[in-house]
This record gives sequence, structure tokens and C-alpha cells, in this order.
Amino acid sequence: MTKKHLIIGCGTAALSAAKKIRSIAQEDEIKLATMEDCLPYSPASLPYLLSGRLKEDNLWVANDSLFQEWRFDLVKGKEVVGLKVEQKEVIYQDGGQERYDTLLIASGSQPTKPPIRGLETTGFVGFHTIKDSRELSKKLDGKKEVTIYGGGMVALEIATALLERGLKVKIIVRSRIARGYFDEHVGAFIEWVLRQQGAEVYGGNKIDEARENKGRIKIILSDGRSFDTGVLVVSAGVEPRSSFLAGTGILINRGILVDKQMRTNLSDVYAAGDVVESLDFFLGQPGINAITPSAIQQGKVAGANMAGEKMEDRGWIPMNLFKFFGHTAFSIGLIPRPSHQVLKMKDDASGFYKEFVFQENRLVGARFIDVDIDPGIIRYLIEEKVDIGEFKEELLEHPQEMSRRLMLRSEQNWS
Amino acid sequence: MIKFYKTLHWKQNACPPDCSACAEACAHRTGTEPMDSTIKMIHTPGENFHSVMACLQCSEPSCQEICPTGAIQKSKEDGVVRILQSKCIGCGMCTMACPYGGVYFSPEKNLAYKCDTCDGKPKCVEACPFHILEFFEGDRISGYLSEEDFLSPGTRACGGCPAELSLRHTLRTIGRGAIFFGAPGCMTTLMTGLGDRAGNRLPYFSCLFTNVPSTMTGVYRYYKKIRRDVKLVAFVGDGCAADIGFQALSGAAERGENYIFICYDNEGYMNTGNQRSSTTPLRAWTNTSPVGGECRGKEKSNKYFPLIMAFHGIPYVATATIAYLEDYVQKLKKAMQVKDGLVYIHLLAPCPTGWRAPLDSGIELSRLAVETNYFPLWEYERGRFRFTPEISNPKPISEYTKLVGKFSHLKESEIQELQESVNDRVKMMKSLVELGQTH
Repeated sequence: MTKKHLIIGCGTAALSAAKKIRSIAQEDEIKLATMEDCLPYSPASLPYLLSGRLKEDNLWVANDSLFQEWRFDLVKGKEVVGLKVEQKEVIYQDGGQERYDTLLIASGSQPTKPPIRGLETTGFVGFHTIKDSRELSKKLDGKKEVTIYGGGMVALEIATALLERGLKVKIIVRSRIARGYFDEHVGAFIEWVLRQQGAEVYGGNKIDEARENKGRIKIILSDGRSFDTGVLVVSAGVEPRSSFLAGTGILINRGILVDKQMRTNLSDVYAAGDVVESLDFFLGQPGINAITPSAIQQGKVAGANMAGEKMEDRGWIPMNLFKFFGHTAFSIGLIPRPSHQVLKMKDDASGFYKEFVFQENRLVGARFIDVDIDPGIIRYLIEEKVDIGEFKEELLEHPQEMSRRLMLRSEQNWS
Repeated sequence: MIKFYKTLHWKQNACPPDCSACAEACAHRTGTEPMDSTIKMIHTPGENFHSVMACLQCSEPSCQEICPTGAIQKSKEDGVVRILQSKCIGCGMCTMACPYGGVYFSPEKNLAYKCDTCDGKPKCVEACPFHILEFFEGDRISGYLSEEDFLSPGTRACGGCPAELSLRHTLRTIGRGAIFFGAPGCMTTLMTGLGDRAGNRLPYFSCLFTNVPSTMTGVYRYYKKIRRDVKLVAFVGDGCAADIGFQALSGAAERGENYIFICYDNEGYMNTGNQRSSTTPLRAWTNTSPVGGECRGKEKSNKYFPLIMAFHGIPYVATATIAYLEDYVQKLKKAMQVKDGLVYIHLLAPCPTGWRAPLDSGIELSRLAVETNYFPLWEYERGRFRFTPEISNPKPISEYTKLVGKFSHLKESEIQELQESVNDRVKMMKSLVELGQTH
């Protein structure tokens, strides 16, 4: 008997799940409903539209003929506003309803709105969809200065893209640059590079008010300073987009709570990607890790289980790779705790930095600036719990060669 | 039909320490200015390790999955995973996705690069002076096996039976022109059916437990007399080979009869409902080595039967298991070349039904058995033992036992006991291998 799989969303997690279902269940019906009226794209590539390195024609990750080949039914411009759990139906904004056998909620995230007086009329909130990108491009037209509120990855990528375009950029951050993504040392380096490129950074600050002032925007900071700017872009993080599920009985903490098989508490309802709060790799504790690698993995796990094959998620690992002005910063895994063994080496002249965090003989975290490594292999060593044993010092000394060697040894299990 | 593509292959840790011919050829692959090489050298002199690595052209590439612009695609024509440079935005996500270091990021050009096999004519392979690098169709195994499958698609075997898979591939490797022999057991029900529903299309002789080798001897002598070269192959369980039929087998080995004797060892009399045999391992539960009260499963260690066969001094003995199919098929091919005596192959065939393991765990179990050294793979050829290959970092035996219901009662101390018996056996095998090397 064939089943009907309905997927809310058409982002990374949604597509990953749909492909997995198709690889297992050739005959099942797979339908993706997206609230946007365009082909799927990855939000990760939007900043490259701003910098001009990517043209909109090349943005789409799949086209209609690929959807035909995969036999996915893509419904554009349909927003799901509710769920009838008993009847196994979703409710669309236009009042229509649709039955499902299994449902995947992959509705992603939405930008958070910080409390700033006057933001509604002056600011530009979020940079999350192709619509945002188009609007911002229009706003930037003819402007020379931009103020960015936020210091997360998206904010940094916007800042990098705009600096590359030759604009004057001010960055206001509540604490420091890249907190939550990179540790203090790496964060400070990123900030230093941005300053070198002409950016002004106001750390430990908030915007209290933003108001229209003769065609320009006046920004008032919490420390009392104020200045005028051309455009204000607010990118203060994202939150799961799950408010449409209110009243359905689904368990939500900050994100939708799921088990290792990406099942929610409702039967035959799964969730994956930025919208979930799933279990982490190291401690098995719930949390949000809204990054592409997690979305892919969670989508795969959800898809397999929806198609009737049991598969468990090994848990998310925080990881971020940031490329800026010829530099590369890569951070993965745990921030050191007292019980960990930390090996690090740095050179302030050239800026390189490498740090390995070990728990007994296992690698549990690592951070690099401008070091030749294969990030995927470092990830492999952590995920596969490879025994580093006597090679810790060697790994610090020659990270690329030694990590490759350890990966090969583990992969083959014999020398 | 599965499609196989040509990919790069290389022997691990076979490179001389100072050679970089492949990387230089790769850097000049376009014939114009030198580029960054996409084949990478690994030298860790401390361990005396010198090798190369390059993209493996995965069937489900994780770099393709993660690429935010869809710039990475796997070709259906030649199986090569390519990066469309015009769509690459230089975000580097692919380098974070690939666990094997297959993607290279050029900071100068701010783009990702990877091996595209020079569109089917890899320059690195041409340049390798030692023929360490090769370029051939992914799965050599497809070339060894006959197109025809001699066992029907549906059989009477339990779901997920590794013995059935072993039998199927044995028939496909040996092919037509052979006669098969067996004794009462799981695989006989596939070969002869039970009155009906035989699943096999090759000649098959069903013997008794005690007389498989003697029956084969008779048939072998007859064909020898009429001067016809016919391969004779026995495919029997451990009960027949190691217990009830041992006397006849030992005699045939000593007399130097020329046929292939394969034992699929599922560590007990599984066809009759799971009774212990002499190859049932220490502490395993069976219906005749129960668990409860004073009883803690089988009291005695299993006899190491392949070694007993090797000590008959016959031309060729090997251990094999289905998770290492290519290894098994190569050993079978070797066995078929032997003309001057008995060949014995001992297959580990986990029995998910009888061992109380998940039905889909057969392959995993047979792989873990090797990786934990519970079942080392080796061959004995004309007096010399050789590991194929030696496991340098064996996993603890608990990785294996935790999947198997017949070991589920084991206490920590009993697992340790089993671990020690595994260690002892490997130690013995190692000394035998070393003996052959110094010979």
C-alpha cells in the first residue's frame, strides 16, 4: 500500500527528507508545500547575492525538471496555518485542507524582532528569504552607509558582502562578534579583520531607538551615543517558525521537541531542520542547532522513518565555517571545560590559530583560523569517536596530515 | 541492473616517501599553467606512512547534498562528481561535508576544486611510476560472478540469512560444470526443496551427515576414470563438517582427494532448532546449552576447526565471511585452481533467527566478527599462513556480543572471558603467520 507523505516547507531539511523517502519508497506520493512562490533555494547563499558573487539565476538548488525526475509534487505559495491531528489533515491559509499519512514539519525559522523603538517604520528586519534579499538590494540602491544590528553568522556574512561592495558598514552587537558560533579568540580575530576592512564595531551595545531624520535614519545606542545612517539592517538571530501549530497539542519548548527518530509527540508527525529542538551528539540533551549539516542529517532520518525504515539521528554537533576576506575560520564541537585536555598553538603575527579539545582519547572540539585542514575530516574524527591515543601532539603539530592519517586508519581498521 | 563506474584506486601506504609524481601530473592536468593538485599526499614519517588520497566519487555524495547553489552534481554518464565552477560561490560548505577530504579549497581563487578523473583519463594514474594508482570499474566483484543466478530469487531460508547469501554467491562464482554436495541442513532445503520447491539449477547430490566426503570420493574417482575434469563442491554446515562427518572429511584430506569442501558455520544445529555443536562458542546460549540457575550457556570453547583442517597439510585452507565478499570470491577462485588435494573453506554464517539477533543484522555481524578478531580472516597455502588482512585495531568483543541474543546473558566477567579466548586465538594465529614469514 502506498502512502502519502506531506512536507511543510521546501528547504534543506524538507528536500533531504523527500529524497530519502523516494530512495526507499518508489511508489509513495511525496508533496512539498512551501509558503514562498519560487523554487527552493538555500538561505546560506543569500549573502552572496548581495556581494554580487552569485546571480539570481544560479540561486535555485533544483528546477522543475528535477522535481519531475524525483516525482515530488511541489506546491508553491501555500502557507499551512493549522493542523487537524485526529483527521490527519493540514489547513492552508486559503481554507483548503489536505490529508496525509505522514507529515513532516520543516517550516524552518524566522528572524527575531528585537525591541527597538521606531523599528517598524525605519528598520529592515531579517535577511532570510529571497524576498528580503530583493528588498534590501532595492533599499541599498544609491546608499553609502549601512548599519547592521547583530553579530551572528548571517549578520557577519551581510557585513562581509557589503564591505566587499565598498559600502561603509557599522556593526552593533549586544555582546561580541560571533558569540555562540566561535569562541572569544576567534571572535576577536574576525572583529579585527572586519575593522581592517573599514567596518566600525560597537560591542556590548543595543539600539534603543531608530527614527527617520530627513531621509536618513538616526540611531540611538543604549550607551547614549547616536549617529545617522543610510540603511538599518536588523539580523538578530532566528527562532523556529512554529506558531501555526498552537493548539494542536504538539510539544514545543523553544523548538518542536523530537526524539532520535525525529518523531514529535503526535503520531505520524515528524519534524526536522531549524524548527526542531533535537538531541545533541555529546550529551543527548535537547537544543536548537539551526545549521545546514544538521538540517540535512535530520531530514534524512525523518525521511527514512516516514518511509518505514528505522533510522536514528546521532545528534547534532555545532559547527561553523566562515570565509571572509581571504581568511577561514572553522569551529566545531565543544568549548573546553575543566575536565577536558586542550592543546593549542597560535601565531599572532600571521594570525593562525589552532585548538584541539580532547575528552580522554577522543576529539570533542576544535577551532582553527587560517590553518590548512580538511574540516570534514575533523568532523569525521569527532563523529566517529576515533581513538586519537598517542597522536594528540602530532595532530596539533601537523593537523592536516595527521587527521587524514587517523581518518584512513579508522576507515580501514588496519594499517 | 546496478551500474558500475570507473574510479581511482590505490594501495594504501605503498608509496615511496619522496615521490610526488601523481600530484605533479595532477597540477598540470589541463596542460596549461600549474593548478592546485586534487590528489593529496599523506606523509606521516613518524609512523612510516606514505600514501595518497583523492575523491572517492561517492554514490550519494555529501558534498552534493550540502552545496547551497547546487553547483556539485554527480554525472549519470560516468559517475563523476563535478563542481560547476560558474555556480560555486566559495562558501566552503562542501569541505565541511566530505568526511574523506575529497574537496579542496583554493584560497587564492576562492573556489572549491575536486578530482574529476580528468574525464576518464586520469593523469595521475599515467604518471604513477609504481602502478600504485589504478583506474578501473568500482566493483571488481561484478566481473567475477556469472550473470546467471543459479538459486531462485525466493527461497525457503529465513529472512536475512547470510548462509543463503553465501551459497548464492558460491554458485555464481563456481558456475556451471560443477556438482554440488550437501547433507541435511538449512542449505539442503534450498538445494533440494522438501519434496518440492527446490531453488537450485545446478546438479546437486544430497548425502547423509556421515558420508559427504566418501560419496564425493566415489564420484571423483568415476570422473577421473572417464577422464573428465569436473569440479566437486560440498556446501555443508558445521554439524556435518566438524562433528558428525568429521571422520570421513579427515580421511579424504589425508588421502588427498581433489575437491572443494565448504563449511558454513552457523555455530550450531540451527536447522533442527538450535542445538549446540562443537563450533558453538563459549558461553553461548542454545537449547542444549541453556541459561538459568547454574547454567551459563556453553561451558566449553569452540574447537577451532579451520586450523584443524590446515594441520592435515592439505594444499589450501581459508576462512571467509559474506561481509568480505570480494575476499571470499578470490579465495574460491584460488581454490578452484588446486589440482592436487583437498581444499577447505570455513565460512562464518551468522544465523539471525537462531542467534536471536535482528533479521537485518547478518552482514553487520559477519563484519563485526572480523573487526573484533572473533573470526580472523586468513588463508593457509602450501604450509604458510597469511592474514587477509590483519586487524590492527580490533574492536572489543562486546561490540559484537551486544548485537547477539545468544550472548545477552553475559556478565562483564564472562565477556572478559570470551575476550581472552579471542585474544589467545589471534595470538596463536599471529605466531603461525610469523612462522611462515621466517621460513
